[in-house]
Amino acid sequence: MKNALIFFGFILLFGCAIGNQYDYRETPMTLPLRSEGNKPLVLSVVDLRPYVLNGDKKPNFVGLQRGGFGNPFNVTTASGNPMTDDMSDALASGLTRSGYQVVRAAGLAESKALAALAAEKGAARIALIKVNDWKSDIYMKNTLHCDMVLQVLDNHGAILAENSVKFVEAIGGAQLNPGRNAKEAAEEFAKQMGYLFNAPQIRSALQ
Amino acid sequence: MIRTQRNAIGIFLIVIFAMLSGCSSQMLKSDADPNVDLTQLKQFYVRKLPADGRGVEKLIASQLTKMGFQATSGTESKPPGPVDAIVSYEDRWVWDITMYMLQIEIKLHDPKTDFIFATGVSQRTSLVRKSPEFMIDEVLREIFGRGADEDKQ
Repeated sequence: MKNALIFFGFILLFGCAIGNQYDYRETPMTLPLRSEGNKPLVLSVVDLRPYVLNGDKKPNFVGLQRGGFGNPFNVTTASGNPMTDDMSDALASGLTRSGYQVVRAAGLAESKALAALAAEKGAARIALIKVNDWKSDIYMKNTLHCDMVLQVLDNHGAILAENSVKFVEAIGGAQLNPGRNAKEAAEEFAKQMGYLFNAPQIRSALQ
Repeated sequence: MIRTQRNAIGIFLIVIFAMLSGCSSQMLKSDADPNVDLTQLKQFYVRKLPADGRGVEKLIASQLTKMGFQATSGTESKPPGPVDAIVSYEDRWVWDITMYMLQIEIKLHDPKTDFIFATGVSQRTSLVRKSPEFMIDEVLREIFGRGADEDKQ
């Protein structure tokens, strides 16, 4: 009886909360863009999350899954790679499907370096996504902390257009199946990316 | 022994109550790209889900027509003529004495890029089930922000 109580107490405290992993790499992404002629486009996704930059969390941190009493456990990428690398994979696939020849910039943020890469690869445009915050927090609900900026730069590094999104809100109820929580977070990422790219100034700057 | 029996009965009742509450839940939500003005949309093509054998695409097209839009439906992935949006859907049916529609999710796509710019979903479990027509109506009204039609059953 005592062992049973200890076992059920453990389940209640930790349950399915330990060791969850999300995979953003294969997120299906249909973007509101069409490029003719397979134009080269430099893509950089940069992790500017303060809790990653200060070393509090590792770059592969994607959010929290809480146990029975709200005790938090880290959720990480399934690949083990930094979250922004996985996001870049998904975005590159989406942009390729939209007709672009994507040149990956591996987290470069500095405009001069991006411009040098664009010049080297013959790209007239650079898409720079700055992830200031992206974290799912799952307890009773799946709450997403999102703060992202999309900039389109020319091949000299000058900003042609910018769009941003920032919110903290519940995107759904917490699911017992961790795979469903992961799918929900990935779908929300694809949706927000689509909305960022669909701004008229962004679509115009990418032409 | 009596205390143990009482505890067991209490736990049993709590579990039963927790399970039954799932039979009576409903959810209605929608989301739309802030860059898109939904009031400018007039013509729709509802793309039939290949696995759908219940004619849900016709119900959706019919409801859009009742709401004042022009809507057609079909099995082709591309519409026969120019439209403002392509409509896709995913329906889920379950059995509880009879089959009923548990969930309907409706998506609006840009006809040029297939980008999804609006979604809506209604989910109703058994005790609050409604007809497919009602659920489709409430999802579309939620997407277009037209409020509930209280006359619908």
